[in-house]
Amino acid sequence: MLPLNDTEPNRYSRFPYMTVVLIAVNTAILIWELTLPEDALRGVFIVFGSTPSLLWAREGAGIISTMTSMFLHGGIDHLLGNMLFLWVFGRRVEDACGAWRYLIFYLLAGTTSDLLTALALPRQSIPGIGASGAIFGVMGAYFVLFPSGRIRTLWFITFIPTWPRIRAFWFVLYYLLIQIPPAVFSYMNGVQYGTGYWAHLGGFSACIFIPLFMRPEAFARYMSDVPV
Amino acid sequence: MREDALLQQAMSAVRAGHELTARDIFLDIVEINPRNETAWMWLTGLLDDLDDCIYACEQVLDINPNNVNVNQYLEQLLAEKKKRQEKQNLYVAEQVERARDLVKSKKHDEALELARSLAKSGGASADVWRLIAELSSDMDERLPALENLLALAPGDTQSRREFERLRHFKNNPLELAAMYEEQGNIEKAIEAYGIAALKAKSKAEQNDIYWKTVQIENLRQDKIAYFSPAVSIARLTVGPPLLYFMLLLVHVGMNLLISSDFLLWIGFFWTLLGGYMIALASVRSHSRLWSLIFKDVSSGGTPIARFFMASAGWILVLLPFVLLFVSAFERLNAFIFSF
Repeated sequence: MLPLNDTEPNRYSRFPYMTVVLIAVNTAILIWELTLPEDALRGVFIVFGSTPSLLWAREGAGIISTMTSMFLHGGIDHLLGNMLFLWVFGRRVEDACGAWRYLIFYLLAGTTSDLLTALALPRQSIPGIGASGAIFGVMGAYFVLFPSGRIRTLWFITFIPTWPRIRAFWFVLYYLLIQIPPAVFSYMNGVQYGTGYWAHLGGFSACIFIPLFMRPEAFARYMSDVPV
Repeated sequence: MREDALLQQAMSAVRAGHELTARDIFLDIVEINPRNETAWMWLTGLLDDLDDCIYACEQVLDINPNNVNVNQYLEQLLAEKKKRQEKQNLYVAEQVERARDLVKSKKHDEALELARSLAKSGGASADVWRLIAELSSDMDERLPALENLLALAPGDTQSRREFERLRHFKNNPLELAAMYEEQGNIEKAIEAYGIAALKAKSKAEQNDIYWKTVQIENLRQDKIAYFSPAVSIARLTVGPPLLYFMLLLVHVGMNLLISSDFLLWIGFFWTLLGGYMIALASVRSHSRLWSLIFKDVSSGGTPIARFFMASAGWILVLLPFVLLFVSAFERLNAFIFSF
């Protein structure tokens, strides 16, 4: 189940510049990664990826890795998946916040994803990379601001593709719920997955801060219970 | 010759008890010859208004300063005028006090009506004009009220500042509309945007005003709640310090008690101040800061003032982040050397 686009128009701005800049930066960094030899790339991941055990020990790059890890990706498929979600959900969240506040929220979501991972899995030694924590924050913001928004979604029923418009509330809720079992399992048994489930949940938790970043008009609409 | 005939005619009218006719004839005489002492003397007794009588006496004394009777009569009139003035002042003061009490009990409309009636009766003091200027939401009423107030109390700097601010808005309806919008007064804002559209210098400006009007009309239709700029500024201030605090948590390995670098903690307050400045620049609000720092008459912040405020805010916000990253770089170097 993949999101294809958000069918609602922007209300306050004409173009989501910051979302495009974030996609461009992530893409540029992946292109740079692809030029590196395998050993060097592993070194980059160790130093600039976010590792909870190092964070607790106050070793490694600290906040530098918190910031850099959300711009590193493990491959083209990893980047494409993340950027698709960022484009679909980021556009309207940026519209509701304004470019710079949206950027701060994005970085905040990336940071909370790191913090929650460190809290839940303090001994994890695998460096976490990818924008998915921050993007889950953006999805969470979308969930809060536009629960009745419609997301055109690509489904494959056996091998036949369909693209119904699904309510954002159910779409995001589905993605949130499927993070919980593996996250709980990794917490209980100390299993280290290749996917940062706790990072996703941590990023999502940043959605509680979204009212602090909204434009005054958008905030007034949200508080008046009319579509943002 | 004609003057003498008119004088005879006027005196005959007085004797016959036709005082109004006589007064009109005497007025005609002083119009023909303003130095006719007899006509002015008669007028001192025939005019109704106290001020007019005083004026007539002054004219007589101007022509003949030795007229003892008129001099005494003028003194009586002036004493009477003073007495009446004191009575009037006392009455106005009492009414102003009453209006202030009405304001205290949130009966603004009644207080304004009272002030208006005092102003209409002609006995308005500076306090009455001040009340009208404070209570009225109509700029066309507030501006003349402040003008009258400043004529009576030229040293009132606060009122002068307000007068200049209103005059500025009068000449810049777009700013006025934005101020009304900021206050949540949608009706007035739409009205002011209408005036601004008439004064627009280009088609593009007219289009912008049109879209702005559509936007706030939608707000009215959708019954959007009003939030004061202070709420927006407080809300938007929190973002940067929140991010800083989260990063600081990461930097100190979740242990807030062992942070060795005191400066990093100071940084939190810097980001708070910077965040406030950015929020102030991004939300349209009236603040004394604009007039204090940038000498902005409207107190709403000109685009240049906002640009400087936002730039200074960003510098304040970024400085602690840079310090934090410098501290993290030192740790990163140690980490790389350990490989």
